[in-house]
Formats: sequence, C-alpha cells, structure tokens
Amino acid sequence: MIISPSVISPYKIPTFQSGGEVPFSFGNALKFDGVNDYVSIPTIVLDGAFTISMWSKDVTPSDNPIIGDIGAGGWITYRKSVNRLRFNNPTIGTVTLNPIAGIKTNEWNHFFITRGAANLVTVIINGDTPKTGTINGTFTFTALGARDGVAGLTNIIQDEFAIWNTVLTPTDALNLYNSGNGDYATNYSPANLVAYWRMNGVADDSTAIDEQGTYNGALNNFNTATCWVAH
Amino acid sequence: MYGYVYNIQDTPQNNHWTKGRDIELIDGSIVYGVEGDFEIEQGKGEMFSKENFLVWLSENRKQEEIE
Repeated sequence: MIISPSVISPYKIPTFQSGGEVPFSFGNALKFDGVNDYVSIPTIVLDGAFTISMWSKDVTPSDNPIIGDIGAGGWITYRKSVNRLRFNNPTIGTVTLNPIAGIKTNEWNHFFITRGAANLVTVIINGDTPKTGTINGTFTFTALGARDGVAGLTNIIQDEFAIWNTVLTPTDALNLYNSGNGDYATNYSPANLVAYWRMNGVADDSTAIDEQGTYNGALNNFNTATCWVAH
Repeated sequence: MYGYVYNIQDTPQNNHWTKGRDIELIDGSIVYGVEGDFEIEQGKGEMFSKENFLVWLSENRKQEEIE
C-alpha cells in the first residue's frame, strides 16, 4: 500500500538546498517586559569551561539579567549605558568586566561569553574587540532574563540563546555573529551544546523550546499574545 | 497595563502576573501585582502604564539593591 506524505506527517517538510542545511534565519524572539517576565528552566550548573551565545536588544539603561538563578546561584547581566557585563556567583560575589566594546542600544547585539583554562573569560560583542577577565566559581542557573529574586528582571528581547559546556574560540564568535546575520549554534561543537533556545515561539506559546531537548523553559508572567516578536 | 491590589482576593481574572507578585513596600506592607487590560475598582488598588508602574515600583518598593 502506498501512503501519501500528507498521511505520514501533517507538518511541512523543510526545503533543503542542494547538499546543505536550511539557510539560517532568526525567526522570532522573546520580549521580556522588564516588570515581571522571566523564563524558568531546569537547573544548569556550569562549574568549568562554558560558552554562552545570545542575541539581545535592550531598551533601558539598566543592568539587564541575561541568565540567573531565582535563588542565589549566580547571574550574568549587561548594561549598555556603561558598557559592562557583570558576573555573580557564591564564590566571587560580583565581578564587573568593563568597558566592553561594541554594545549598541536599541539594536540587536550578539553576546559571546566563553570561559576556558584558568577561568579566563572572554567576552566578544558583535565581533568587536575581546574583553577578558578571570571569573572563578560555579554558576547555577534556573532562569532566563532574571537574577536573584524577582526584583532583578530584564527589559530586553532575547534570541538564539545557546549554552555549551566547553570553551569556544574568537573565530567561533565571529562566525556566530556573521556580520549581524547569525548562524545556527548547532554548527559549533554540537556534542557540547547543552541547551539552545531559538525563541521561535508564536502567539499563545508558553514554552521556550530547547532544541537540544532537555531544558525547555516555562514562561512566567508573560503576555503570550504579544511576547513573541520578529527578529 | 500594570498595577497592584491591596488584597489578593481582588485580583482580576486573567491576570498575566501569576508568579512572584508579592510586592513588599517601603513600609513593610505587601501588595499584589497585576497585569492586563482591566480596571481596578477604586480603593482596591491602582493601575499604570508600564513606564509609570516602573516609576511607582522604584519609588515604593522595598529595594533589593543590585548595584
């Protein structure tokens, strides 16, 4: 018996270019309201090398949490107005890296944060000049767009949020940035890609899907009719 | 629209704000955050635009200093 494709799957089959994957496009992104929105995720512990790649567009001159713990496990924030990233965990307290070149206001920014040997952290924004510093300690993350407590919430749009449990290179940062055009996180050390939230939800979705399958995020307090926006 | 009610039982239905909505004020009292397109009955709370609500929070919420 011949089964037609429409019976096998109701979903549209992606169109592949000859010999390659579907060209990258950002799709949608997740807009946080800066008052009470955050995404709770299963706990991620980063105690050694790690890399975070994320696209973000900020709308206020405040320390916007990128990722954090509703408890006290740690957080990372950025603030365009003073060109800084701040890192917090129980070992280091709070450490600030600044000035960091390349952050733009009200435009999309690509954030690349990687920690390698001897806890050396390298931050590269939009492929600009790297900023380095030593950041020790273990980060325990349970939320996107939040830090400890609900008073520290973010007022940004997030997209293409990826976490690896390994160090990546400045060349990887440039390729992920791709002159502002982005690229799939899965093209870089895929065996070490812990979580990858593409933020391609649509109206009424209340889950930020982890493409790696383990760390789906639950949207808290979002107006799901309006929080998914085009990038 | 964002705001607060004094008593949790006055929370409108379809409130988007469901988690972490206890707001401790400078005087130690607690109000409850609300978010949505609705009016709060006079005397039971207050509603603002997002920008004005953030101003209200900065002026009235007990601060958890993040600097």
